[in-house]
Amino acid sequence: MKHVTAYGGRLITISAFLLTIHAGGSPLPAQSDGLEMVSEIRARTAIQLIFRNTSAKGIPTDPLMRKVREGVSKKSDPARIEAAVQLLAQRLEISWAALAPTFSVEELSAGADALQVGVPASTLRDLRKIWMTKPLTVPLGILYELVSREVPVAQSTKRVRELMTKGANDAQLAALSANVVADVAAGLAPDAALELRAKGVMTLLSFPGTFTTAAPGKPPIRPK
Amino acid sequence: MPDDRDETILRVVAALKPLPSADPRAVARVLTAVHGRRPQPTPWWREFLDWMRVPSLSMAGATGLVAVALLAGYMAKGGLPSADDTAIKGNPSVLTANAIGDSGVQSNSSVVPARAVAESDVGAVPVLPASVVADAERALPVQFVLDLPSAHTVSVVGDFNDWTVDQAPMKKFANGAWSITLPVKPGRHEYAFVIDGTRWMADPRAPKARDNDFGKPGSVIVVTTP
Repeated sequence: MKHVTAYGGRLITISAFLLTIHAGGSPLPAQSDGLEMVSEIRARTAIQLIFRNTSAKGIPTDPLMRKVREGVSKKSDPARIEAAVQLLAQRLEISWAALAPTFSVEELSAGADALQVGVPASTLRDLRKIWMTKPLTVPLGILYELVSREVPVAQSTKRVRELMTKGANDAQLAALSANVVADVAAGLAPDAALELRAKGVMTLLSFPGTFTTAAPGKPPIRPK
Repeated sequence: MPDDRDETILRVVAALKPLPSADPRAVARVLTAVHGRRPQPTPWWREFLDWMRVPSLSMAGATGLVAVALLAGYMAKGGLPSADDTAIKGNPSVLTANAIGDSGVQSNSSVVPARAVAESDVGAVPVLPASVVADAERALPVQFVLDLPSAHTVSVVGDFNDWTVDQAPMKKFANGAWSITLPVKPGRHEYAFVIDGTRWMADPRAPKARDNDFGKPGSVIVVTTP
């Protein structure tokens, strides 16, 4: 049939347009959501869903995007990237709830990383109570480092918590971690290294004037 | 005589040429009457039926129209940004402030999940003031050094630059060492060197990172405020 009679052509066109608009999915990928770098469509769609679910809970998705980029830069398999993003999203949700009020995305990520090596959520909540007005980014990073160097979780948590309570600052905690890592690399047992270095920091903290410049008690006497 | 007649005609014409003065109110009345009698616009449904009543349409034309409609439909579904897409691209719950470090290195810092206060599913989450965060999470300059004279290009990648391989190319010095100084926020960070654009290498001067997710060599740095 060469011609479609009156009304026919336009009806077909309008019907096709409405059906297409009504259809739920689109074979074309969503544009410019930053996930085009994931080559496999199935994995990309799954990651988009994870992003949406996370965002719907009010949790920042920046760490998830960073994980995707890490996986792509390291040329990982899309399925592996998807799995890593999925697990990170779960940890972020726990970290988000445990650290409230959350200082920053960095602190949130540090909490999620600590959870990854086995630090319990209750520890995150406990540390938050100790440092309500300071970000926990560094202490949580130190916990991650200690536990990933085979220092037992309970011991790491106990010592870091103790030092925070006694007034240790970020730099002192970082120095503790660096020293423990160096000791372990030199052959010392991880738990012994932490005990040794924690005592060292504790000793410094028991002398409040150690890190301050002492002011003269009375005006200097000008020599005659 | 013809001249006289012409002259007479000319005078008559000259006398009749100017229009008689008209009352502006009368003009307005006439215009109002004309405007009032303007024909009523065709109803939309009538125009639509007229548009639909085409005498014939070739099969090729119909197919082309269907193709255009399908493409437009797909574009409408996949191309228009939804609320979720917006959230993925740049989370609206995140406030960003710029901070200048002590060394003058400028960096993006201080991101606070603010929307959570109102609509979080995990409960009411209080949020600390952005000014407090800006001071505590200020990025600090960190120097990365690699001694590798044989390399042609070296760049540093890490979580602080979203693992973008070509974002932080290092500078080669005469002695063969490569160096770059980047602003990094306080906390524990993982990074690596990318040699000649392909080979990943951990920093021999720093502790090794345990990459649980992707298994590439990397290093750890802990940045703290002074």
